Amino acid sequence: MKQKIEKTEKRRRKKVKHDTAFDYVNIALLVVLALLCLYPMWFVIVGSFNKGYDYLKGGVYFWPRTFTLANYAVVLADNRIWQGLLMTVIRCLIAPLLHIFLCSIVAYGMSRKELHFKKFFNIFGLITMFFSGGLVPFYVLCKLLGMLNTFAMYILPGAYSVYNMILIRSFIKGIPEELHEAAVLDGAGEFRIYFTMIIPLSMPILMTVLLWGILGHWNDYTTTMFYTPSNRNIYTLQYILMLIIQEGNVQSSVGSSVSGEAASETISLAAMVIGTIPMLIAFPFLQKYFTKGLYVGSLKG
Amino acid sequence: MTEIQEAMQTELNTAPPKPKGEKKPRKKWHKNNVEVFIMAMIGACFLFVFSYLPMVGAVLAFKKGDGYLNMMDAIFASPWAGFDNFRDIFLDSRFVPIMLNTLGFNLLRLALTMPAPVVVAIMYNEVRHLRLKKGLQFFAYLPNFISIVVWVGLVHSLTDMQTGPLNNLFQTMGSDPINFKGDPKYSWGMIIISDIIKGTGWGSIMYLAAIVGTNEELYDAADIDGANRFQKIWYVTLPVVMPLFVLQLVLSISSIMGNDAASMLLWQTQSNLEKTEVINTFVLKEGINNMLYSYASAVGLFQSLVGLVLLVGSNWISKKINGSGVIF
Repeated sequence: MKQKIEKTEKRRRKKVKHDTAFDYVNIALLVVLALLCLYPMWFVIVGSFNKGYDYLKGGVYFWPRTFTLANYAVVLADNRIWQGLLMTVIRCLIAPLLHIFLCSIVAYGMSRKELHFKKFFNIFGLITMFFSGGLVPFYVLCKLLGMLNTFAMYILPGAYSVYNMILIRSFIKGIPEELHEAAVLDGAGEFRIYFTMIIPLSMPILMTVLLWGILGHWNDYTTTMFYTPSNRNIYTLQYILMLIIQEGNVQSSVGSSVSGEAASETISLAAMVIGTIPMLIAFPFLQKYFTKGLYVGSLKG
Repeated sequence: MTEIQEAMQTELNTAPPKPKGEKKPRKKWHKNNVEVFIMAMIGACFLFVFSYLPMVGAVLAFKKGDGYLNMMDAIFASPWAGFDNFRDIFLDSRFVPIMLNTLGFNLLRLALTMPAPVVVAIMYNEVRHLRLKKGLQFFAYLPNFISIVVWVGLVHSLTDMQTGPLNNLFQTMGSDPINFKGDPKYSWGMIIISDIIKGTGWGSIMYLAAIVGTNEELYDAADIDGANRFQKIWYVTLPVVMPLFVLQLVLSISSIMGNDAASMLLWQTQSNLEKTEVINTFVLKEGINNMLYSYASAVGLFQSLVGLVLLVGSNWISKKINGSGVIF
């Protein structure tokens, strides 16, 4: 797949003789877009390393004027951040794994011609993609199931999605039928085939769905806000960041010599950096897995 | 995306015609039939609990369930209200401005954020220095990985009246500092522009993949015909991305009735509510915080139904124009 893309690129480049005014304008505009995406992040990083009361005078745009680590010291001394980080990591480990397991096992079942009532299952799933009962009945349901303010709220409601099931199924459908026949001749049952053959073979798409799941769970704050607001022990990192950004204060116990150098604005900036850094560090290494599923999807169509 | 489309079209259209008068052969349940059936049932069970039970719960919209402490009572024991809740919505003086906000904001948002990735994808495709292109794309992807909480906080600090560089720029150009965070006049513009910056780079990937997959001979043929670059973009690249764009448009058309509440709640401040209160945030506040279950359910159901009508309608229009539906 990747080779094909590069081949096309190369062929296309061969025809190029020289850059025209069109190229320069085009590249200039794209550079502007890249800067628009980059500068906000740079601004936040710069501000987070600046002394609070100096920052408030304005003018800290490109480089810290008076360098300090106090903002980070204050934020990291807030126990809620660590608690939230722990909860978020546990959530990001469990929920996406369960998600790809459920979606792929259903996808495999739905991809088999041995499945009876296939049309029913398909329509049963498609309806939910376009119509929902609404937020309040869902809230009521969660309350009745006793899931409100529990960790299960993070895991169970999103554990299965029709969209990802269809994505994985179209990948599984591309696995040669002969492999399945051979496995059946060897006496393997469908579950055995799923665990020993389908999972390893559909790893690329599973990785993509897994990474999207991790990103989604890492960045989600509304589940905590709506469904688990009274259980402080399971607040996730993003929700705590929201509290810090909105209230502009932390429950921190560092000495006043340190906290004197921080202001609520710069503390917010430091909190933003802390909440974003893990994903931004991971992204360059995982970029190809993130995009693989998208490429597969649109090229097939 | 296209898989979804494919799946729907095949699955909804390929029912084999039943031979008349002939009895359907009875289904045999061998071990492997049972096993795949169990697999499919796992998914159906999850859908039943988390998607279909809430649909049953939507009867709340036709009941007088407001203010009940016990949820079961709210659903089952409360008296029927018929369509009173829906009548109340339209008599509620708060609802009309919220409805107008929702429609106005989301139409503007869709009109500006949907075409941007297409344009940018075409622009990336025209960059012929591979390294440069990869680098530019990399930076444009980054904002997609920032959470909405951080993103909103970041935009608010950028546009701050005292410390934000944007207002500093305006001041050097001689205008007064603008309170982007609080002034309702600027809310929509700020939200939509920041949405474009956040989503455009990543949104372009899908279109770019479609463009890269284009048959190279089409470009060669255009070269032979003496097409210049604009003509190649217009007559070769654009028709390739158009079906994908239309699919995206139809799939997001129902969001005219409500974009996600997650971002809107963060953009809201006390002073800009007159422009940023939309149906989704309103339902949340009335339904969960004020315990007006029936009223909020009715609003939610109304929203969901209008969204469905929009989806089916736009699919129908595309069927009339193109001869085939986008989704089904």
